Amino acid sequence: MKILVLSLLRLGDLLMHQEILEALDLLYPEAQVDLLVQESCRHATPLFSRQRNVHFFPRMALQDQLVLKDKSFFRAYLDIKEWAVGIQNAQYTHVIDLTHTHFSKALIEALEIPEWGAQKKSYLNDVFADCTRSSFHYVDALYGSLQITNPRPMPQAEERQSSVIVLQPLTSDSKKNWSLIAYRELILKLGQRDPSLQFKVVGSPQERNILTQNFQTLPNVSLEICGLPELRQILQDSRFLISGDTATLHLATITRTPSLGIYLGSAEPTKTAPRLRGAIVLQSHEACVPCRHSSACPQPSHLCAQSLSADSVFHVLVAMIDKNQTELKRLAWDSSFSIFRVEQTSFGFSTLEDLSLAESEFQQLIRQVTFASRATQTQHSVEQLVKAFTGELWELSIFVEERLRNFDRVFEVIKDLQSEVRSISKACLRMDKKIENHGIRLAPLVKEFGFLSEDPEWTSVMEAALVACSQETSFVVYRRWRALLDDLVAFTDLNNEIYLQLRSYLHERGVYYVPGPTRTT
Amino acid sequence: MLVQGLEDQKLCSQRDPTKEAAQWLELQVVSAGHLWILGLGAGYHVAAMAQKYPEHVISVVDHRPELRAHFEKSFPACARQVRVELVATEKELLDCQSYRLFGPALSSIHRFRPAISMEQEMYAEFSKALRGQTKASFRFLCEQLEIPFNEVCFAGISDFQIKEIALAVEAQGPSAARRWVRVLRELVT
Repeated sequence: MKILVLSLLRLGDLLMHQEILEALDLLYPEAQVDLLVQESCRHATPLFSRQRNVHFFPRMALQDQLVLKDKSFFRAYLDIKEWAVGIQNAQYTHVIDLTHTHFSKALIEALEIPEWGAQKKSYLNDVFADCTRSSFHYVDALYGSLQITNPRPMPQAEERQSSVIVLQPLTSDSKKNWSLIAYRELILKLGQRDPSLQFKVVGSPQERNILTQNFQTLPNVSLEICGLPELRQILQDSRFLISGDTATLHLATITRTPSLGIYLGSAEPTKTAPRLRGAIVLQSHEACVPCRHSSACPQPSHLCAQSLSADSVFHVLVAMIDKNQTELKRLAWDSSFSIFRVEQTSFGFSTLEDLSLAESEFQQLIRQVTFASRATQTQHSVEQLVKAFTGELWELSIFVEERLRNFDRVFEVIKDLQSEVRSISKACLRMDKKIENHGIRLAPLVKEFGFLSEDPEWTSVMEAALVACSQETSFVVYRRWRALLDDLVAFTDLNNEIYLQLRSYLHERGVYYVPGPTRTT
Repeated sequence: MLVQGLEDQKLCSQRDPTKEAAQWLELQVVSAGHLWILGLGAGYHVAAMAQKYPEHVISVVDHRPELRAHFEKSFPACARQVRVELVATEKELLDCQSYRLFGPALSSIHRFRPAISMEQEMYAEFSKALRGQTKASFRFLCEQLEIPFNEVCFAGISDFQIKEIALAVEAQGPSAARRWVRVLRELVT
């Protein structure tokens, strides 16, 4: 088996994809797993843990041919066909698309190589192609689309005795940047608390000037403008990394460096938190967070960055250094931002533990239900579900058909719930304090959902949310409902899929349930 | 100074045309073995390019026969390497020997701005024709490269940018060419 894995996004994504490549190596040791990356990521190849054939896609050169004056589209056409010959000659049996863009889809079609997991991308399509909130980490969603489970536990951050703290202040997108003044303040506060600390500010050559202007004069600070292998060495020798949502943060996962991620703008911890147990991620409570990836910050000032003061981040970092979990939870409860700790569930998924206690119970209940469904899908085959059914196959068929018939109505009820929840948002915008109407309109839908789904856990979660809804009309209530319904949609989709698989299984074995004619009297 | 100008049009620097040609040459990115130069002018820039790229074939487009005669007389060393095509319309360009002989898609296109200042419109049209962005050149190149295109979409398109090209090709139905065109379209959308 020869597999070509497409990783045609940016460096940070490529670093996250390494975990999946290693999982494929372990699960299919006889297979040759090769990689296709952007030409611009060529410098990252020395970081790969295993030697493999890497192909490079000349994106920039082709784009130049397509858009620049005095260049020809036909030249680009001939160039890409010439480039493809190398891939086609390698005779890959499968291609795995970790890129998941219209471009990668078109490329796979043009290369005419069968795609692995092409039919299981509905979740990725629905959630990651847009700004929809996700119940799963990006990498877990990719595992799900490939229908494989990570064979190894997620790495744990190592405890380090080093006196070096690494900071990566700039990201690829200005709306994800925390202010440089705040970084300076943070360095000064940490230096005052412990004068033995050394700070290494890292960045790319393009960032040299701005970093020099802001950090060169600070005591115990050195600028490290370096390549990836050198950066890896720096992270290996350091005690902590403080960074936005950058490739450096994902590189720290490989080196197991304890990390503090400052997620601002469009950075969404549930989707792209570092895959390192014990890493801490901060996210603002501002209503506009996370914003759209493709557009600029919509606010008159950078609200999400302003809600994280240098002082509060300093206290989080001190609690991390002192391993003071109680203090971390207290800070999470009191702060204007969320503090998440990266953990791994018993089902193997990455999860974010919200350290503010009240939120944690609510979130965890939702996650528990959703993950339980995912586990059923991935860990138990349909055969095992059939074995677990105590009756005859025809009885199971009736059961499956009844559930599937219910799903249509369940989806309608969820749509009605979503529509009602949107009206909460509109009421907030109108500053309308007549709150009772929302609860009154939501309550019968929740009841009907409970009746149709026969799912006590989801029903109890929604009933709890109803109570909050009847107490106030606010964006907090709206966001809580929206998050709940997003998870519910994901859960119901997965559940529906399981029943559809059961139906196919039964049909393959000649077990059909045909409803009889309605008896008339 | 070999040529001062033509009908009051300055064809090159009046002070130091060799230096001007060298400066122009420094800015050119040569990406193919066959080079098109739009505008012959006084010929210094063509001679400089021929000297720098002795292995390349150079085709020069101009519409003034007196300039070709002057170039052949002034730069006899370039005779083997440089082919001057006298064309005044897009049709003449498409019919010329260089266009038929060397696929324009595989050529590198260069413009000597001072020499074409008076004929901006004509040379802009030539540039489009060399890039396959006019109807006639698009049809010619598609046929050369065996890319099927849809005549219906093709008829309604005036300026062939990547989106329009993709539209005209994709409407033709499934083919390897259509799939590669779609990949290119996705690269710029």
